[in-house]
Amino acid sequence: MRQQIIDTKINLHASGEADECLFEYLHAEMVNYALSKSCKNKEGEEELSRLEWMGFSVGYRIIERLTREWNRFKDELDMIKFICTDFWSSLYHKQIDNLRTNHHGVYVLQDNSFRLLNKVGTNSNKQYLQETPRLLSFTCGLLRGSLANLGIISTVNAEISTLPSCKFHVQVQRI
Amino acid sequence: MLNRVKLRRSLAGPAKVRINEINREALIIEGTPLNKLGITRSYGKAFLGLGRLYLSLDSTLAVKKQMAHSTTQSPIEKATLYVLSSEAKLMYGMLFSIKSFVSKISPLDPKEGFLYYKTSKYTLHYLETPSGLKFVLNTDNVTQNARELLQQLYREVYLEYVVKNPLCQLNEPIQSELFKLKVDELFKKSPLFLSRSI
Amino acid sequence: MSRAGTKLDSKKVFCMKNILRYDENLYIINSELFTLTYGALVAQLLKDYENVEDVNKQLERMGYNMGIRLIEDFLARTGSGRCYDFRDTAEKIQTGFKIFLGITPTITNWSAAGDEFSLCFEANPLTEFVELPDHCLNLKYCNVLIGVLRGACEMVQMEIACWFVQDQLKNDNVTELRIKFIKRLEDAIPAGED
Repeated sequence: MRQQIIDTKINLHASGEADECLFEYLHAEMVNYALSKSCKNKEGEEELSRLEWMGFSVGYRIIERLTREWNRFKDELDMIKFICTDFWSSLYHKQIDNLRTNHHGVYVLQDNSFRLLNKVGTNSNKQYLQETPRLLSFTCGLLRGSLANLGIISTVNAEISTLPSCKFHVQVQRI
Repeated sequence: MLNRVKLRRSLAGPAKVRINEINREALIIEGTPLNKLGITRSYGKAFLGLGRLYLSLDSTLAVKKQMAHSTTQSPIEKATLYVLSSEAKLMYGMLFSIKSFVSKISPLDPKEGFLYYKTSKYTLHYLETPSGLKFVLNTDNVTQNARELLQQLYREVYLEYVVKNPLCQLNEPIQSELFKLKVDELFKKSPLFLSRSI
Repeated sequence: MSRAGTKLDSKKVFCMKNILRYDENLYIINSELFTLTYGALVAQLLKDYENVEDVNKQLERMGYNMGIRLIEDFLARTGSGRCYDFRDTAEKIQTGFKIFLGITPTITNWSAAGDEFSLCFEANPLTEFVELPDHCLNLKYCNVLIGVLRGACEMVQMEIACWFVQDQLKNDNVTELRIKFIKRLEDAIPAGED
């Protein structure tokens, strides 16, 4: 069964990278759905916990499949590095451009051209900045879910100053 | 930049570059003497140099979408309820008539349908996708074969920056700045534009 | 990347394989990302709605919205023109499945009038990891496909109806999707004309 699937994927590759956009269209619909279901909270921010939660459950599962051929990770930083390189390039076709940490459980992952944002805007204008949090919520959840499966309990926030780049702040919760 | 505007004057007669607010349905770059179509401010600036080209991503999709969502009213009722701005309406009406005329006089089932028409002053190039999107480009009479450019516009700009932008609703006027930027880029690197702007 | 292809002996082949494996992996992950994301969505919908019928409806609606975008993608990618007849349409739908999901459903069971056919799926990436629990046997897990087809066809001026006849998730041998042509949609006549 598995072999069969691999074969179809190779054929697909020959015909162009077509199935990628499917995820993007689905993601867009999930965003719409989450918005239709949510009411704005006191600060006027959109309530996006549904998206975050869906991201979490996808992240929790997909990391399982990505790491099945890997050795155990040395430490926390090693895991984060894996997220920045292999994980990110598998899902979003490029690596994280910049990783910073204070070595006390705070990591900032910066992507200068995030896949879900680079069709939306450029740095030359501020259009759509207000709406972008809803496009990042799913990925925040994805990160949190993946880390959770690796044994790291964390909170993840996203920050955007200029499109299409964005930063994900990972704060590890120490027990 | 100045040079180009000058060139435009000499070709198109008294230049009336009208820069109005965007008309709500069509996204239009103007520069031909024939039309009074609207234009956005930033768009207009970007295209002053382009002079003779104008482009309209037609609004009929909006009409179609409206129809699609109506369950209680007949499509036509719903479509007419949706108020198109008068210019876009005129343009739509004209294209509609030409299209049905062309398909009626053609002895065979026309594959491509209506491609362009030419007057003494300008040429109108037309591309309609099977999904009913209509791309219109007015040029001077020297410009030929703008069809490929329109197809590029559809494939490389409309698809990438409108269809794939989750924040653009397909049944609303296109507001994306990035889209405008990319249209601008595409036209400025097009041979049709380069050959004329020297 | 070094994790791939370690069993191979020749160095040259090793490199080739390496590249292949990496792409392969990427593609599997990409399709799994889609599959898992869709799964998470269905799970969320089941949580949000009490009635399974509402979930089906919502999936269809989301499919419709995806369909009206996907059709543009399809047209730009394939450069295909209008369909000559409904058989042509059937083939194009089949091509669409191949392009976007990497599967080739078979076209069968044409009605005598030629306005109705079935698509049969042996493999379906959407349901790769899915097993329906007892309390949602009425769930049409793949209902998004119906919406996609309806949306896409509507954009090319064709109204269709489609529904599932058989579903592998409900222990049928194949998943069978029935598609029926309803009518052609015409361009709206400009206001003020007859």
